[in-house]
Amino acid sequence: MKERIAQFGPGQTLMGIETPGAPNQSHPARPTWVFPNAGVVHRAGPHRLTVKLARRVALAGFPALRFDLSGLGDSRARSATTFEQAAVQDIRDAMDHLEQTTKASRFVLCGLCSGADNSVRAALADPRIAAIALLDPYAYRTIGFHVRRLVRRASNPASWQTLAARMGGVRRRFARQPRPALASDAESDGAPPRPMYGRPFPERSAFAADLRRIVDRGAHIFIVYSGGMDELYNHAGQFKAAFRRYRLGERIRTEFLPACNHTYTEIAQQRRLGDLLVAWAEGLFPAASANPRRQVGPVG
Amino acid sequence: MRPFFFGRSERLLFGTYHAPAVRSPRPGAVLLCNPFGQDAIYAHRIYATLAAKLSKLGQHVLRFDYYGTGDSAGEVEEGSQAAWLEDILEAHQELLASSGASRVIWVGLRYGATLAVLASQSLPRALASLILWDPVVDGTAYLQELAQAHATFMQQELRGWRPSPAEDCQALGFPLGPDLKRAIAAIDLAALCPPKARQVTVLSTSQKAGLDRFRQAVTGWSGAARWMEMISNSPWNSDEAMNTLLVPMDVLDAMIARIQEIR
Repeated sequence: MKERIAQFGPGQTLMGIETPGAPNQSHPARPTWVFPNAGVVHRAGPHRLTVKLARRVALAGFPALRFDLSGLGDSRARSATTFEQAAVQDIRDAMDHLEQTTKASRFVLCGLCSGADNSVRAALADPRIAAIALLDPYAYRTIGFHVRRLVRRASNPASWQTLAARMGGVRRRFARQPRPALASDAESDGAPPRPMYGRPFPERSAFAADLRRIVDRGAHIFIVYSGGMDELYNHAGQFKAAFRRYRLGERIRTEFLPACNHTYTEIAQQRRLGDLLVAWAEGLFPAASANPRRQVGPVG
Repeated sequence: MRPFFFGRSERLLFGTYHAPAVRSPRPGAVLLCNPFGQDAIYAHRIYATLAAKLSKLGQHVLRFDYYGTGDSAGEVEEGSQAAWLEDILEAHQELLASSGASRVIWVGLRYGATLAVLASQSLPRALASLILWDPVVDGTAYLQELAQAHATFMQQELRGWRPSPAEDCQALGFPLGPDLKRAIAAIDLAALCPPKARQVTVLSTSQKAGLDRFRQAVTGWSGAARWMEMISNSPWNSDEAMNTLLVPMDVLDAMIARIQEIR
Protein backbone atom coordinates (compact mmCIF):
# COMPACT_ATOMS: atom_id res chain seq x y z
CA MET A 1 0.00 0.00 0.00
CA LYS A 2 2.17 2.83 -1.27
CA GLU A 3 0.74 6.21 -0.38
CA ARG A 4 1.00 9.32 -2.57
CA ILE A 5 1.15 12.99 -1.80
CA ALA A 6 -1.75 15.03 -3.12
CA GLN A 7 -1.48 18.78 -3.67
CA PHE A 8 -4.48 20.47 -5.16
CA GLY A 9 -6.85 23.40 -4.88
CA PRO A 10 -6.02 27.03 -5.61
CA GLY A 11 -2.30 27.24 -6.38
CA GLN A 12 -1.89 23.62 -5.21
CA THR A 13 -1.97 24.89 -1.64
CA LEU A 14 -4.14 22.11 -0.19
CA MET A 15 -2.20 19.10 1.02
CA GLY A 16 -3.15 15.50 1.65
CA ILE A 17 -2.12 11.87 1.37
CA GLU A 18 -3.78 9.35 -0.94
CA THR A 19 -3.94 5.68 -0.03
CA PRO A 20 -4.76 3.40 -2.98
CA GLY A 21 -7.31 0.67 -2.42
CA ALA A 22 -5.83 -2.78 -1.90
CA PRO A 23 -5.60 -4.33 -5.39
CA ASN A 24 -7.16 -7.65 -4.52
CA GLN A 25 -10.27 -5.90 -3.25
CA SER A 26 -10.40 -2.84 -5.47
CA HIS A 27 -13.25 -2.36 -7.84
CA PRO A 28 -13.67 0.61 -10.19
CA ALA A 29 -17.14 1.27 -8.84
CA ARG A 30 -16.05 1.50 -5.24
CA PRO A 31 -16.15 5.09 -4.02
CA THR A 32 -13.14 6.88 -2.63
CA TRP A 33 -13.17 7.87 1.02
CA VAL A 34 -12.26 11.45 1.87
CA PHE A 35 -11.26 12.38 5.41
CA PRO A 36 -11.19 16.09 6.29
CA ASN A 37 -9.64 17.23 9.59
CA ALA A 38 -11.13 16.26 12.92
CA GLY A 39 -11.43 19.62 14.62
CA VAL A 40 -8.17 21.52 14.41
CA VAL A 41 -5.87 18.50 14.49
CA HIS A 42 -3.78 18.08 11.34
CA ARG A 43 -4.60 15.42 8.76
CA ALA A 44 -3.09 12.51 10.71
CA GLY A 45 -5.91 12.95 13.20
CA PRO A 46 -5.99 12.73 16.96
CA HIS A 47 -3.43 10.08 17.94
CA ARG A 48 -3.14 9.25 14.22
CA LEU A 49 -6.71 7.98 14.03
CA THR A 50 -7.30 9.32 10.51
CA VAL A 51 -4.20 7.58 9.15
CA LYS A 52 -5.42 4.31 10.64
CA LEU A 53 -8.96 4.70 9.31
CA ALA A 54 -7.77 5.69 5.83
CA ARG A 55 -5.48 2.65 5.69
CA ARG A 56 -8.18 0.39 7.09
CA VAL A 57 -10.73 1.30 4.41
CA ALA A 58 -8.00 1.10 1.75
CA LEU A 59 -7.16 -2.40 2.91
CA ALA A 60 -10.79 -3.27 2.26
CA GLY A 61 -10.47 -1.96 -1.30
CA PHE A 62 -11.66 1.63 -0.94
CA PRO A 63 -9.12 4.26 -2.02
CA ALA A 64 -8.77 7.07 0.52
CA LEU A 65 -7.58 10.64 0.83
CA ARG A 66 -6.89 12.34 4.14
CA PHE A 67 -6.16 16.00 3.82
CA ASP A 68 -5.84 19.33 5.58
CA LEU A 69 -8.60 21.84 5.08
CA SER A 70 -7.36 25.31 4.22
CA GLY A 71 -5.73 26.97 7.21
CA LEU A 72 -5.15 23.68 9.04
CA GLY A 73 -2.12 21.39 9.06
CA ASP A 74 -0.04 22.03 5.95
CA SER A 75 -2.75 23.64 3.81
CA ARG A 76 -2.69 27.37 3.27
CA ALA A 77 -5.71 29.42 4.33
CA ARG A 78 -8.06 30.77 1.70
CA SER A 79 -8.64 34.49 1.81
CA ALA A 80 -11.97 36.29 2.06
CA THR A 81 -14.11 33.38 3.09
CA THR A 82 -15.39 31.82 6.30
CA PHE A 83 -13.94 28.56 7.58
CA GLU A 84 -17.20 26.72 6.90
CA GLN A 85 -17.50 27.99 3.33
CA ALA A 86 -13.85 27.23 2.72
CA ALA A 87 -14.21 23.71 4.14
CA VAL A 88 -16.94 22.84 1.63
CA GLN A 89 -14.91 24.26 -1.24
CA ASP A 90 -11.81 22.41 0.00
CA ILE A 91 -13.68 19.10 0.03
CA ARG A 92 -15.01 19.77 -3.46
CA ASP A 93 -11.49 20.62 -4.63
CA ALA A 94 -10.30 17.33 -3.14
CA MET A 95 -12.96 15.43 -5.07
CA ASP A 96 -12.15 17.34 -8.28
CA HIS A 97 -8.51 16.35 -7.84
CA LEU A 98 -9.38 12.70 -7.32
CA GLU A 99 -11.77 12.74 -10.25
CA GLN A 100 -9.04 14.13 -12.53
CA THR A 101 -6.20 11.95 -11.29
CA THR A 102 -7.89 8.65 -10.43
CA LYS A 103 -11.19 8.84 -12.32
CA ALA A 104 -13.08 8.49 -9.06
CA SER A 105 -16.64 9.66 -9.49
CA ARG A 106 -18.30 8.89 -6.16
CA PHE A 107 -17.12 9.57 -2.66
CA VAL A 108 -17.68 8.69 0.95
CA LEU A 109 -16.90 11.46 3.42
CA CYS A 110 -15.89 10.57 6.93
CA GLY A 111 -15.54 13.22 9.60
CA LEU A 112 -15.16 13.41 13.35
CA CYS A 113 -16.63 16.29 15.35
CA SER A 114 -16.38 19.43 13.18
CA GLY A 115 -15.26 17.06 10.42
CA ALA A 116 -18.74 15.53 10.62
CA ASP A 117 -20.32 18.97 10.39
CA ASN A 118 -18.22 19.79 7.33
CA SER A 119 -19.12 16.44 5.77
CA VAL A 120 -22.82 17.25 6.08
CA ARG A 121 -22.32 20.67 4.49
CA ALA A 122 -20.33 19.18 1.63
CA ALA A 123 -22.89 16.42 1.06
CA LEU A 124 -25.58 19.08 0.77
CA ALA A 125 -23.53 20.90 -1.85
CA ASP A 126 -22.16 18.09 -3.99
CA PRO A 127 -24.05 15.14 -5.48
CA ARG A 128 -20.87 13.12 -6.03
CA ILE A 129 -20.95 12.28 -2.34
CA ALA A 130 -22.67 8.90 -2.17
CA ALA A 131 -22.40 8.42 1.58
CA ILE A 132 -21.19 10.14 4.71
CA ALA A 133 -19.92 8.64 7.95
CA LEU A 134 -20.40 11.05 10.83
CA LEU A 135 -18.53 10.50 14.08
CA ASP A 136 -20.14 12.42 16.93
CA PRO A 137 -22.21 14.78 14.83
CA TYR A 138 -24.86 16.99 16.45
CA ALA A 139 -26.99 15.15 19.01
CA TYR A 140 -30.26 16.05 20.63
CA ARG A 141 -31.66 15.09 23.99
CA THR A 142 -34.98 13.35 24.39
CA ILE A 143 -37.26 12.66 27.33
CA GLY A 144 -35.78 9.18 27.42
CA PHE A 145 -32.29 10.69 27.70
CA HIS A 146 -33.30 12.59 30.83
CA VAL A 147 -34.98 9.56 32.37
CA ARG A 148 -31.94 7.37 31.78
CA ARG A 149 -29.64 10.01 33.19
CA LEU A 150 -31.84 10.45 36.24
CA VAL A 151 -31.89 6.71 36.88
CA ARG A 152 -28.14 6.52 36.48
CA ARG A 153 -27.60 9.37 38.90
CA ALA A 154 -30.07 8.02 41.42
CA SER A 155 -28.24 4.72 41.49
CA ASN A 156 -24.90 6.42 42.13
CA PRO A 157 -24.19 7.21 45.82
CA ALA A 158 -21.85 10.03 44.77
CA SER A 159 -24.80 11.83 43.18
CA TRP A 160 -26.60 11.98 46.53
CA GLN A 161 -23.52 13.47 48.15
CA THR A 162 -23.36 16.08 45.40
CA LEU A 163 -27.03 16.84 45.89
CA ALA A 164 -26.51 17.40 49.59
CA ALA A 165 -23.64 19.74 48.83
CA ARG A 166 -25.84 21.71 46.48
CA MET A 167 -28.62 22.29 48.95
CA GLY A 168 -27.48 25.92 48.95
CA GLY A 169 -29.48 26.22 45.77
CA VAL A 170 -32.68 25.67 47.73
CA ARG A 171 -31.78 28.51 50.03
CA ARG A 172 -31.29 30.79 47.04
CA ARG A 173 -34.74 29.92 45.75
CA PHE A 174 -36.36 30.86 49.05
CA ALA A 175 -34.43 34.12 48.99
CA ARG A 176 -35.85 34.73 45.47
CA GLN A 177 -32.42 34.97 43.94
CA PRO A 178 -32.36 33.70 40.41
CA ARG A 179 -30.10 30.71 39.97
CA PRO A 180 -27.59 31.14 37.13
CA ALA A 181 -28.98 29.47 34.04
CA LEU A 182 -27.13 26.42 32.79
CA ALA A 183 -27.23 25.42 29.17
CA SER A 184 -28.11 21.89 30.18
CA ASP A 185 -31.12 23.07 32.17
CA ALA A 186 -32.74 24.52 29.10
CA GLU A 187 -32.46 21.20 27.34
CA SER A 188 -35.45 19.07 26.86
CA ASP A 189 -37.16 17.62 23.87
CA GLY A 190 -37.31 20.52 21.38
CA ALA A 191 -35.43 22.99 23.57
CA PRO A 192 -32.47 25.02 22.27
CA PRO A 193 -29.51 22.76 21.61
CA ARG A 194 -26.37 22.83 23.70
CA PRO A 195 -22.98 23.47 22.12
CA MET A 196 -20.43 20.70 22.57
CA TYR A 197 -16.75 20.47 21.66
CA GLY A 198 -16.84 24.15 20.76
CA ARG A 199 -19.42 23.77 17.99
CA PRO A 200 -22.72 25.65 17.91
CA PHE A 201 -25.50 23.14 17.28
CA PRO A 202 -28.28 23.96 14.83
CA GLU A 203 -31.91 23.52 15.78
CA ARG A 204 -32.97 19.90 15.61
CA SER A 205 -35.43 20.68 12.80
CA ALA A 206 -32.68 22.33 10.75
CA PHE A 207 -30.36 19.35 11.18
CA ALA A 208 -33.22 17.00 10.29
CA ALA A 209 -33.90 19.02 7.14
CA ASP A 210 -30.24 18.76 6.12
CA LEU A 211 -30.18 14.99 6.67
CA ARG A 212 -33.45 14.67 4.76
CA ARG A 213 -32.03 16.52 1.75
CA ILE A 214 -29.01 14.23 1.71
CA VAL A 215 -30.95 10.96 1.89
CA ASP A 216 -33.63 12.19 -0.49
CA ARG A 217 -31.06 12.42 -3.25
CA GLY A 218 -30.09 8.80 -2.61
CA ALA A 219 -27.02 9.21 -0.40
CA HIS A 220 -26.47 7.13 2.72
CA ILE A 221 -25.55 8.27 6.21
CA PHE A 222 -23.83 6.37 8.99
CA ILE A 223 -23.84 8.08 12.37
CA VAL A 224 -21.63 6.84 15.19
CA TYR A 225 -22.03 8.38 18.62
CA SER A 226 -19.33 7.78 21.22
CA GLY A 227 -19.49 7.68 25.00
CA GLY A 228 -17.77 11.07 24.90
CA MET A 229 -21.17 12.52 23.99
CA ASP A 230 -22.86 11.21 27.11
CA GLU A 231 -24.01 14.67 28.16
CA LEU A 232 -26.18 14.61 25.05
CA TYR A 233 -26.56 11.01 23.97
CA ASN A 234 -26.89 7.93 26.17
CA HIS A 235 -28.78 5.21 24.31
CA ALA A 236 -28.50 3.35 21.02
CA GLY A 237 -32.07 4.25 20.10
CA GLN A 238 -31.86 7.94 20.92
CA PHE A 239 -31.33 9.17 17.37
CA LYS A 240 -34.42 7.33 16.24
CA ALA A 241 -36.45 8.80 19.09
CA ALA A 242 -35.10 12.31 18.58
CA PHE A 243 -35.87 12.33 14.85
CA ARG A 244 -38.96 10.09 14.71
CA ARG A 245 -41.27 12.89 13.72
CA TYR A 246 -39.09 13.81 10.73
CA ARG A 247 -39.42 10.38 9.06
CA LEU A 248 -35.90 10.38 7.67
CA GLY A 249 -36.21 7.00 6.00
CA GLU A 250 -33.98 4.00 5.92
CA ARG A 251 -30.77 5.32 4.45
CA ILE A 252 -29.58 6.43 7.86
CA ARG A 253 -27.93 3.93 10.16
CA THR A 254 -26.69 4.73 13.63
CA GLU A 255 -24.39 3.09 16.14
CA PHE A 256 -23.68 3.95 19.76
CA LEU A 257 -20.29 3.09 21.24
CA PRO A 258 -20.50 4.05 24.93
CA ALA A 259 -17.10 2.52 25.75
CA CYS A 260 -15.34 4.86 23.31
CA ASN A 261 -14.39 8.44 24.05
CA HIS A 262 -14.83 11.28 21.56
CA THR A 263 -11.51 10.82 19.79
CA TYR A 264 -11.20 7.02 20.19
CA THR A 265 -8.09 7.24 22.31
CA GLU A 266 -7.82 3.57 23.15
CA ILE A 267 -6.28 1.41 20.48
CA ALA A 268 -8.85 -1.38 20.70
CA GLN A 269 -11.61 1.17 20.16
CA GLN A 270 -9.80 2.64 17.16
CA ARG A 271 -9.77 -0.83 15.60
CA ARG A 272 -13.41 -1.35 16.45
CA LEU A 273 -14.36 1.90 14.75
CA GLY A 274 -12.38 0.97 11.65
CA ASP A 275 -14.07 -2.42 11.44
CA LEU A 276 -17.47 -0.82 11.88
CA LEU A 277 -16.92 1.70 9.10
CA VAL A 278 -15.66 -0.96 6.72
CA ALA A 279 -18.57 -3.28 7.46
CA TRP A 280 -21.02 -0.46 6.74
CA ALA A 281 -19.27 0.52 3.51
CA GLU A 282 -18.97 -3.07 2.31
CA GLY A 283 -22.68 -3.50 2.89
CA LEU A 284 -23.38 -0.43 0.80
CA PHE A 285 -20.78 -0.93 -1.90
CA PRO A 286 -20.04 -4.63 -2.30
CA ALA A 287 -16.97 -5.30 -4.42
CA ALA A 288 -18.90 -6.95 -7.24
CA SER A 289 -21.61 -4.32 -7.51
CA ALA A 290 -21.52 -0.89 -9.12
CA ASN A 291 -24.52 0.50 -7.28
CA PRO A 292 -25.15 0.92 -3.58
CA ARG A 293 -27.80 -1.27 -2.06
CA ARG A 294 -31.10 0.45 -1.65
CA GLN A 295 -31.47 -0.44 2.00
CA VAL A 296 -28.79 -0.90 4.58
CA GLY A 297 -30.73 -1.32 7.77
CA PRO A 298 -33.30 0.29 9.98
CA VAL A 299 -33.18 3.89 11.08
CA GLY A 300 -31.52 4.27 14.48
CA MET B 1 7.28 23.79 1.16
CA ARG B 2 7.82 20.47 -0.61
CA PRO B 3 6.25 17.36 0.89
CA PHE B 4 7.83 14.11 -0.25
CA PHE B 5 8.54 10.52 0.67
CA PHE B 6 12.09 9.33 1.09
CA GLY B 7 14.06 6.36 2.33
CA ARG B 8 13.89 2.69 1.49
CA SER B 9 10.84 1.57 -0.48
CA GLU B 10 9.79 -0.91 2.19
CA ARG B 11 9.83 1.76 4.88
CA LEU B 12 9.13 5.12 3.29
CA LEU B 13 9.33 8.20 5.50
CA PHE B 14 7.27 11.31 5.00
CA GLY B 15 9.12 14.60 5.03
CA THR B 16 8.46 18.25 4.32
CA TYR B 17 11.34 20.29 2.99
CA HIS B 18 11.30 24.06 3.35
CA ALA B 19 13.72 25.72 0.96
CA PRO B 20 15.19 29.09 1.92
CA ALA B 21 12.73 31.81 0.99
CA VAL B 22 15.40 34.44 0.41
CA ARG B 23 17.71 35.25 -2.50
CA SER B 24 20.92 34.67 -0.55
CA PRO B 25 20.35 31.62 1.63
CA ARG B 26 22.48 30.92 4.66
CA PRO B 27 24.76 27.91 4.41
CA GLY B 28 22.90 26.13 7.17
CA ALA B 29 20.23 23.49 7.31
CA VAL B 30 17.98 22.51 10.21
CA LEU B 31 16.53 19.06 10.87
CA LEU B 32 13.51 18.92 13.18
CA CYS B 33 13.17 15.70 15.20
CA ASN B 34 9.66 14.80 16.32
CA PRO B 35 8.69 13.78 19.81
CA PHE B 36 6.63 10.64 20.50
CA GLY B 37 2.88 10.05 20.49
CA GLN B 38 0.52 12.83 21.38
CA ASP B 39 3.45 15.22 21.76
CA ALA B 40 4.10 14.70 18.04
CA ILE B 41 0.51 15.64 17.21
CA TYR B 42 0.96 18.78 19.27
CA ALA B 43 4.36 19.44 17.70
CA HIS B 44 3.06 19.49 14.12
CA ARG B 45 1.92 23.11 14.17
CA ILE B 46 4.91 24.18 16.25
CA TYR B 47 7.35 22.64 13.79
CA ALA B 48 5.47 23.93 10.74
CA THR B 49 5.63 27.44 12.19
CA LEU B 50 9.29 27.09 13.12
CA ALA B 51 10.17 25.73 9.68
CA ALA B 52 8.36 28.56 7.89
CA LYS B 53 10.12 31.17 10.00
CA LEU B 54 13.55 29.63 9.52
CA SER B 55 12.94 29.34 5.79
CA LYS B 56 12.19 33.06 5.64
CA LEU B 57 15.52 33.66 7.38
CA GLY B 58 17.36 31.71 4.71
CA GLN B 59 17.66 28.27 6.32
CA HIS B 60 16.95 24.93 4.67
CA VAL B 61 14.60 22.97 6.94
CA LEU B 62 13.39 19.39 6.95
CA ARG B 63 10.68 18.07 9.24
CA PHE B 64 9.75 14.42 8.97
CA ASP B 65 7.86 11.53 10.55
CA TYR B 66 9.60 8.45 11.93
CA TYR B 67 8.56 5.08 10.53
CA GLY B 68 5.13 4.10 11.84
CA THR B 69 4.29 7.67 12.86
CA GLY B 70 2.54 10.62 11.23
CA ASP B 71 2.25 10.19 7.46
CA SER B 72 5.16 7.77 7.17
CA ALA B 73 4.57 4.16 6.21
CA GLY B 74 3.97 1.51 8.83
CA GLU B 75 2.39 1.43 12.24
CA VAL B 76 3.87 2.49 15.56
CA GLU B 77 3.87 -1.16 16.64
CA GLU B 78 6.40 -1.82 13.88
CA GLY B 79 8.68 1.00 14.98
CA SER B 80 11.44 0.84 17.54
CA GLN B 81 13.81 3.27 19.15
CA ALA B 82 16.73 1.79 17.22
CA ALA B 83 14.86 2.17 13.92
CA TRP B 84 13.88 5.74 14.73
CA LEU B 85 17.54 6.60 15.36
CA GLU B 86 18.27 5.29 11.87
CA ASP B 87 15.40 7.40 10.55
CA ILE B 88 17.04 10.52 11.95
CA LEU B 89 20.30 9.64 10.22
CA GLU B 90 18.42 8.94 6.98
CA ALA B 91 16.63 12.29 7.23
CA HIS B 92 19.97 13.97 7.89
CA GLN B 93 21.38 12.52 4.65
CA GLU B 94 18.24 13.59 2.81
CA LEU B 95 18.59 17.13 4.12
CA LEU B 96 22.23 17.26 3.08
CA ALA B 97 21.27 16.08 -0.41
CA SER B 98 18.32 18.48 -0.75
CA SER B 99 20.11 21.53 0.59
CA GLY B 100 23.73 21.06 -0.30
CA ALA B 101 24.38 22.60 3.10
CA SER B 102 27.65 21.95 4.85
CA ARG B 103 26.47 22.94 8.31
CA VAL B 104 23.58 21.12 9.92
CA ILE B 105 21.71 21.86 13.10
CA TRP B 106 19.32 19.42 14.73
CA VAL B 107 16.39 20.49 16.84
CA GLY B 108 14.68 17.90 19.03
CA LEU B 109 11.59 18.24 21.15
CA ARG B 110 10.97 16.05 24.22
CA TYR B 111 11.59 12.40 23.25
CA GLY B 112 12.78 13.70 19.86
CA ALA B 113 15.54 15.61 21.65
CA THR B 114 16.60 12.43 23.39
CA LEU B 115 16.62 10.52 20.11
CA ALA B 116 18.69 13.30 18.58
CA VAL B 117 21.34 12.99 21.29
CA LEU B 118 21.49 9.22 20.76
CA ALA B 119 21.50 9.40 16.95
CA SER B 120 24.23 12.04 16.86
CA GLN B 121 26.68 9.51 18.31
CA SER B 122 26.60 7.65 14.98
CA LEU B 123 27.37 10.65 12.78
CA PRO B 124 30.68 10.65 10.93
CA ARG B 125 31.02 14.43 11.43
CA ALA B 126 29.91 16.61 14.31
CA LEU B 127 26.78 18.67 13.93
CA ALA B 128 27.15 22.42 13.93
CA SER B 129 24.69 22.55 16.75
CA LEU B 130 22.10 20.52 18.63
CA ILE B 131 19.14 22.19 20.27
CA LEU B 132 17.28 20.13 22.86
CA TRP B 133 13.86 21.42 23.86
CA ASP B 134 12.62 19.84 27.10
CA PRO B 135 14.44 16.57 26.47
CA VAL B 136 13.31 13.35 28.10
CA VAL B 137 16.12 12.81 30.58
CA ASP B 138 14.80 9.92 32.68
CA GLY B 139 13.09 7.22 30.61
CA THR B 140 11.40 5.51 33.53
CA ALA B 141 9.92 8.78 34.73
CA TYR B 142 8.78 9.51 31.18
CA LEU B 143 6.93 6.19 30.98
CA GLN B 144 5.24 6.99 34.28
CA GLU B 145 4.30 10.41 32.93
CA LEU B 146 2.76 8.81 29.83
CA ALA B 147 0.80 6.30 31.92
CA GLN B 148 -0.45 9.04 34.22
CA ALA B 149 -1.44 11.30 31.33
CA HIS B 150 -3.35 8.43 29.72
CA ALA B 151 -5.24 7.50 32.88
CA THR B 152 -6.06 11.10 33.77
CA PHE B 153 -7.35 11.86 30.30
CA MET B 154 -9.47 8.72 30.04
CA GLN B 155 -11.00 9.31 33.47
CA GLN B 156 -11.99 12.80 32.34
CA GLU B 157 -13.36 11.52 29.07
CA LEU B 158 -15.38 8.48 30.07
CA ARG B 159 -17.58 8.12 33.09
CA GLY B 160 -16.57 5.07 35.11
CA TRP B 161 -13.43 4.38 33.03
CA ARG B 162 -11.13 1.86 34.69
CA PRO B 163 -7.67 0.88 33.49
CA SER B 164 -7.44 -2.58 31.96
CA PRO B 165 -4.31 -4.68 31.34
CA ALA B 166 -4.30 -3.29 27.80
CA GLU B 167 -3.64 0.21 29.16
CA ASP B 168 -0.18 -0.86 30.10
CA CYS B 169 0.90 -0.92 26.49
CA GLN B 170 -0.62 2.30 25.20
CA ALA B 171 -0.33 5.99 25.90
CA LEU B 172 -2.94 8.48 24.75
CA GLY B 173 -3.81 6.48 21.67
CA PHE B 174 -0.31 5.31 20.78
CA PRO B 175 0.94 1.77 21.31
CA LEU B 176 3.88 1.20 23.62
CA GLY B 177 5.21 -2.26 22.88
CA PRO B 178 7.50 -4.11 25.28
CA ASP B 179 10.64 -3.44 23.21
CA LEU B 180 9.92 0.26 22.96
CA LYS B 181 9.14 0.47 26.66
CA ARG B 182 12.39 -1.30 27.51
CA ALA B 183 14.36 1.08 25.31
CA ILE B 184 12.68 4.13 26.80
CA ALA B 185 13.08 2.86 30.35
CA ALA B 186 16.81 2.55 29.79
CA ILE B 187 17.19 6.23 28.90
CA ASP B 188 19.37 8.20 31.26
CA LEU B 189 20.45 11.24 29.32
CA ALA B 190 22.68 12.50 32.12
CA ALA B 191 24.78 9.34 31.95
CA LEU B 192 25.27 9.40 28.18
CA CYS B 193 28.35 10.44 26.30
CA PRO B 194 28.12 14.01 25.03
CA PRO B 195 26.32 14.33 21.70
CA LYS B 196 28.40 14.73 18.59
CA ALA B 197 27.86 18.45 18.12
CA ARG B 198 30.08 21.50 18.31
CA GLN B 199 27.46 23.35 20.32
CA VAL B 200 24.59 22.13 22.48
CA THR B 201 21.71 24.24 23.69
CA VAL B 202 19.15 22.98 26.15
CA LEU B 203 15.88 24.89 26.22
CA SER B 204 14.09 24.01 29.40
CA THR B 205 10.49 25.13 29.88
CA SER B 206 9.22 22.61 32.40
CA GLN B 207 10.58 20.84 35.45
CA LYS B 208 10.89 17.14 34.70
CA ALA B 209 12.59 14.27 36.45
CA GLY B 210 16.36 14.16 36.24
CA LEU B 211 16.70 17.67 34.86
CA ASP B 212 19.08 18.93 37.57
CA ARG B 213 21.37 15.96 37.11
CA PHE B 214 21.27 16.48 33.35
CA ARG B 215 22.16 20.13 33.81
CA GLN B 216 25.25 19.13 35.74
CA ALA B 217 26.18 16.69 33.01
CA VAL B 218 25.76 19.32 30.30
CA THR B 219 27.98 21.71 32.22
CA GLY B 220 30.71 19.07 32.15
CA TRP B 221 30.51 18.49 28.39
CA SER B 222 33.39 19.91 26.44
CA GLY B 223 32.60 22.45 23.77
CA ALA B 224 30.03 25.19 23.97
CA ALA B 225 26.95 24.21 25.94
CA ARG B 226 24.25 26.62 26.90
CA TRP B 227 21.32 26.06 29.22
CA MET B 228 18.32 28.33 28.65
CA GLU B 229 15.39 28.32 31.01
CA MET B 230 12.10 29.79 29.91
CA ILE B 231 8.73 29.84 31.56
CA SER B 232 6.26 28.33 29.13
CA ASN B 233 3.28 26.15 29.94
CA SER B 234 3.47 23.85 26.97
CA PRO B 235 0.80 21.17 27.34
CA TRP B 236 3.04 18.15 26.76
CA ASN B 237 1.17 14.86 26.64
CA SER B 238 -2.21 16.45 26.32
CA ASP B 239 -4.96 14.87 24.24
CA GLU B 240 -6.95 18.09 24.14
CA ALA B 241 -7.45 18.88 20.46
CA MET B 242 -7.47 22.63 20.92
CA ASN B 243 -3.96 22.44 22.37
CA THR B 244 -2.69 21.55 18.92
CA LEU B 245 -3.30 25.17 17.98
CA LEU B 246 -0.92 26.47 20.62
CA VAL B 247 2.47 27.62 19.44
CA PRO B 248 4.79 28.97 22.16
CA MET B 249 6.20 31.80 20.10
CA ASP B 250 8.53 33.00 22.86
CA VAL B 251 10.29 29.64 22.85
CA LEU B 252 10.44 29.57 19.05
CA ASP B 253 11.84 33.10 18.94
CA ALA B 254 14.55 32.16 21.44
CA MET B 255 15.40 29.08 19.41
CA ILE B 256 15.49 30.99 16.14
CA ALA B 257 17.77 33.60 17.69
CA ARG B 258 20.09 30.81 18.84
CA ILE B 259 20.10 29.19 15.39
CA GLN B 260 20.88 32.52 13.72
CA GLU B 261 23.88 32.96 16.03
CA ILE B 262 25.48 29.73 14.87
CA ARG B 263 28.26 30.21 12.35
